[in-house]
Amino acid sequence: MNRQSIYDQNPDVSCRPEEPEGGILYNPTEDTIELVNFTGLTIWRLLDGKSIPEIVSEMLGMFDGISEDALKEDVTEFILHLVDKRFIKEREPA
Amino acid sequence: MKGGDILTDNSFYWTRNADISSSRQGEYFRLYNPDTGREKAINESGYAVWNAMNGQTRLEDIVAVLAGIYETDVSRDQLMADINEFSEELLAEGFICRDLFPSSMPLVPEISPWNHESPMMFDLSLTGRCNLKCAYCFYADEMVGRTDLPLESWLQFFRELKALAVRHVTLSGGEVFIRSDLWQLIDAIIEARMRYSILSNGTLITEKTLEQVVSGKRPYRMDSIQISIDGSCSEIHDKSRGRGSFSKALRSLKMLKEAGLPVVVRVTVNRHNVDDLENTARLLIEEIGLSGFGTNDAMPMGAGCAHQGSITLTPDQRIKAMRTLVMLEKRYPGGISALAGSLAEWHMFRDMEKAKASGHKSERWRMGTLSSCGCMFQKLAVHHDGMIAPCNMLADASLGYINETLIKDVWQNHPLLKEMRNRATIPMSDVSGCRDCEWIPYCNGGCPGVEYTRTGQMNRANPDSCYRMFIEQTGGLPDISGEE
Ligand code: SF4
Ligand code: SF4
Repeated sequence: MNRQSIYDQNPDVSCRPEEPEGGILYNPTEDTIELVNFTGLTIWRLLDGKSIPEIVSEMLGMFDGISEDALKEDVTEFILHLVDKRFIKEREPA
Repeated sequence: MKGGDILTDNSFYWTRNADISSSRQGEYFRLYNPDTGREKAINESGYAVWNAMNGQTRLEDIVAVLAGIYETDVSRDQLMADINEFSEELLAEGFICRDLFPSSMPLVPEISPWNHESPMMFDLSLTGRCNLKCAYCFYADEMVGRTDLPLESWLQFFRELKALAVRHVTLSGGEVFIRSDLWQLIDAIIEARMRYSILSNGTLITEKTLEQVVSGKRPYRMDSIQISIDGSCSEIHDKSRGRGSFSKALRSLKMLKEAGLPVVVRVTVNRHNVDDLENTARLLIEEIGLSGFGTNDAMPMGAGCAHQGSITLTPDQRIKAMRTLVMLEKRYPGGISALAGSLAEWHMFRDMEKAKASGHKSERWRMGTLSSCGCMFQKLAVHHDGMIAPCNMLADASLGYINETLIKDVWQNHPLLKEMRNRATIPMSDVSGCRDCEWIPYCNGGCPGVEYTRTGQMNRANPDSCYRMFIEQTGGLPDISGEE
């Protein structure tokens, strides 16, 4: 991961929210699925060309009482896992 | 082991937590505990273990269930240890409970976890038109008096499916390749983030079609393209599908296979080809090199109804078809499949015989209730005029029209779907025509399509799946386990 990287949803991937508990991401090209919990779904919805610090900062504004370090670790792990599985696209900012 | 010296891993009876909902998500199953908000993705064998936990099963019973479903080289001790570890995990997460005493009533196996939000898949008949007039096309009656939806209506519908995150559509007709806008439709399906399969008679596929199939994302999103082959030669295939259809279908099949596309074949067993199944298998598997093919029987629906006397199998021919297909199953392991028809019936009747003789009901399917009909937990169908139906086999059961009725609303609230999902709770002893039958505890009534079409009633048993009737007509299941 490059520190400057920004992230987008893979436009091929569909997301089936199953409120309130999370959702299912489906990559039709690879025919693979990922089950995500509520936090994962929140991160997914914020993936529109943002960097990890930007996503973390938005989430800190949404939820009370979360530790920034723990959140950053979770967001980074989630995003890198889904980049690896081609559900999320990573790019350099323009 | 936990619990002191007296208790062993095998001392407990395990039960699924009744509050847990399960749903299939592609190759995984998702367990959800609404009390804790916890969810868990498990694979198919994990689901089989979870499903076997009915309050009367101990670990050794679950090992036996699993060994009956999957062939495995893993030793019994290792299997026991693996299942024990998995059970402890489920227990710690609140998905199951255990007790030192068995429950008085076993939980019935979950059969079709329901996707509550919206369907996962659709069967779409894109056209009622066809270049052939197959003698048993169950869609034939539908073609009369209904017109094909225009491109724009389908595109609008695909936008709705995209919003619902539907994953897969199966495209059929009529004959799909008759639509000149087929590629626009397929590209819109791809744009809507779905995969697709095609069912075709194979006679309209040319080199030009192939160029279209392999362009862009189309080959990567295709799950399968199914061609109908109903015999090993034109003399047999063309009797039911029309002159010249065999050579065209075979040519398409070879062309698609050479192009590396996921081509599959369906053989519809009927009076003309029942004596030719061995040759057909040889042609498809040995000469063309397919890994196998699917089978079904011609059914008394649609055109098949009008031609019932000349197309659908006689009782003796059903026995003949069973003998041959079971023999071919042995000759080509894993190569012959059937979700319905003679081969599927042979397996079902044999399971019923085994259950009656042993007193142990099958763990693979639910016996004793009207439980065979499962698609409406996962998918819906749309006819070429836009009518939404629970299944292609229930062509007249209207749930509304696309772009007029919201799919989500139909899926969650339509009374007919609710009635169909509820069928599985109806004991066979309550089904008209079944009272006093000795097979009641072991039967599931089969597909309601034929009887619904005939009588308009959903909660009836399919005569083709009725073992009592089969015994009356044929004398019973042939013993063909040792034949080759
Ligand atoms: S109506 Fe028949 S084919 Fe359709 S889902 Fe039910 S059992 Fe299957
Ligand atoms: S009468 Fe036929 S359908 Fe009914 S329970 Fe008996 S075998 Fe099954």
